[in-house]
Amino acid sequence: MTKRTLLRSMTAIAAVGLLGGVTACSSGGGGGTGGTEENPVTITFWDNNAGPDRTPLYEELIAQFEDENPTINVEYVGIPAADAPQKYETAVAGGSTPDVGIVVGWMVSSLAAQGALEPIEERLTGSDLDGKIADDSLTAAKGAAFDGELYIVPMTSTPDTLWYRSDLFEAAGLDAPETWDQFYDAAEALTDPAAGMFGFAMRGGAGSTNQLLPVAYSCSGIDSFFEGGETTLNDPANVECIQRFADMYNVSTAQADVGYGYQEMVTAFDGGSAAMMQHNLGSSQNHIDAFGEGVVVGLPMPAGETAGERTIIAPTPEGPALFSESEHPEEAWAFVEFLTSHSANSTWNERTGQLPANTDAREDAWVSENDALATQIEAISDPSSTIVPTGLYLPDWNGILGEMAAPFQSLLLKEITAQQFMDEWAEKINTAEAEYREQFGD
Amino acid sequence: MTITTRRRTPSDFSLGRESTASRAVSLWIPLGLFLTFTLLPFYWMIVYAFREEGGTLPLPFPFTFEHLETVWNDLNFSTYFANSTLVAVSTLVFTVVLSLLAGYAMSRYDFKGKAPFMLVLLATQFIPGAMLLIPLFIIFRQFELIDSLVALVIADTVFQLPLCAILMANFMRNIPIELEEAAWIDGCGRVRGFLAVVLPLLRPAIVAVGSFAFIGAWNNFLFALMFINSNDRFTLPVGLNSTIGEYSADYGALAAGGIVAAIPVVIVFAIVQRFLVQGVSAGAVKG
Repeated sequence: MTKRTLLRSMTAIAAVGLLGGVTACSSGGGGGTGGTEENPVTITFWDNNAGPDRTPLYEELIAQFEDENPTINVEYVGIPAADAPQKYETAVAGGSTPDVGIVVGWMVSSLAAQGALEPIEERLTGSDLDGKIADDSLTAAKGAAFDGELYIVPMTSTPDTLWYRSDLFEAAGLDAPETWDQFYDAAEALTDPAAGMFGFAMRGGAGSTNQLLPVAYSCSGIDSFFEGGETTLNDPANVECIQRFADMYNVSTAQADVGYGYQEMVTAFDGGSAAMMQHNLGSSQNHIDAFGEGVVVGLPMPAGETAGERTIIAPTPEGPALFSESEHPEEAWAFVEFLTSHSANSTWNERTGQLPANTDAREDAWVSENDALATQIEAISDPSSTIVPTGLYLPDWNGILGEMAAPFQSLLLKEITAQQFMDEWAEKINTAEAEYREQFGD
Repeated sequence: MTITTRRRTPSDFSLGRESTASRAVSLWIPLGLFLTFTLLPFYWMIVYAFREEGGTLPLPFPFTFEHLETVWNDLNFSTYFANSTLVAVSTLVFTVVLSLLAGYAMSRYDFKGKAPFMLVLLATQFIPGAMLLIPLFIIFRQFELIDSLVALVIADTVFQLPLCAILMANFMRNIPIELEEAAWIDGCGRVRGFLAVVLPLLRPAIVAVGSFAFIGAWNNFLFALMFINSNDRFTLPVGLNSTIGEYSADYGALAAGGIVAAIPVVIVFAIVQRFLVQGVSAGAVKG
């Protein structure tokens, strides 16, 4: 190839590249409101947790929706879970949001406070879904917003679950970890570092602090997150529980646990080197894939003293939100309704192994056949259980959780005490709560 | 006087053997360890990409192309690959052309504020892309470039250009001006003189700068995720990240996708590595 030919080829490639980009830019969008079958309205839908499980599931549901609604076309955009918050925040700041997006509870306040989400309670009560979304899920969804409004229609809410290997427990003659004492006894008994086996896979790295709240409150039994405008996080009972939990690091856990995020933790557990793991119902399919049905059992977080009397941190809701900049709100709402309808909600939750928010979906046979799910529903509905709503509505909530991840590692490495750790955390929450009250009132 | 000679015995070579042994300790063993450490992830990638799901052997056996077919056809990697190629090649072309122009100006002309200008160019390298996300997003939205590959080409070019221009300028300083002057005497203008005399000598620098630009654009994840809002316009790094869900990862697809993403970069390096070392080292020396 001569230099001249090479230069020409490169110029041609660059021109084609730019042309492709320009064409791509102008090809988006759909018709105006009220599309026809020939010229359907296009709405954009952002999935906050794209991946090998969810993407095909949403594509299937979208195909079903488009069959039922030929005048609406849904453009799916899959966002990797780890980057979804940044993508949403950048889109809001830049004024380029989708029509519908799946939003997790801890993102609701931040997005709603910026005016990015449309309050949807009125739409919900005027729709076929009225009375069909479980009260616990609706309460959790409203509790996630800075103003107590409803901004997402929950598809699920995910309570923390203690997963344990029933085969190892049976072989060692141990009771199921229904209480925290049973949990610590089992963790100690099942640890054998020489054999590369540990009682518990602890999440010490990214996302660790999300899981500490259920540990603290289920253990201490404290039944409210705020008292007199101040958090109960650093109550002595919570501090004692967190100190005991941290003390098991490198004793009943592997040394590497201090850096474990979700993937590392679940790999340690499903790889067979840990007997217990704390997460939500979202990881159930991984455990079935690794060990088959019935080997890994999921329980609600252990009770403080007496089995059955549980203090449960309010599950984090997740569901579709209607973005206020949408040019096609009616079509977008139709898709939200579809996603949370009996059929779609049941399919979605059955495939992801999570707790349906639609009450009709909760009655489906697959729910009662899923032990971990049935146990969680039973625990949440049990009158002796206390549900503790947190400060999920604080716009800074998730930022604070992120900031506390490094201090938690310091606690695990015994550089600070649980008292120092919880005091620091409580101070941040109290400051955020005071700012919130100042801005939005009580 | 009698001169005796004797056949050299193996002990005479002991020094040489010691030298070989010490060379092994000081060079080959560390290099071998380093190579093992570097290549192990690639080995892991090949094993997972070409081994059937459920296989436990540390070898790509039972062998399968299933994961590659899945990522290429089902996970849309064919589209991501085409998008990445367009963005990376366009970035390469623009970066090389613009850094040639900027490099020539900085190496051949004296102008007021030249030193501060070069300092500013260098300083831009200390600003993380994430800090400029929202301003860039707003600018691109005003130009209606959000969800367009053009935005990626512009952003990638802008971020690659400062360092590439400095490298190019340093390389040009090493080319004597007398060569250009000779061309001018022979009747060439400045442009013709540059194209006929300087440009051929800049091949290592062009290769180095082009490689930086190509690889930088090829691997850029953040801009592709933020400025693109359609699945059909995402690039390979976003596609790769999408094989990891919050609660699960498809390791076969992840590894196969990794191979798809790595092959062009490996080929580019294999072709240009000779020029690359020459170009970078020449550009690193201040003339």
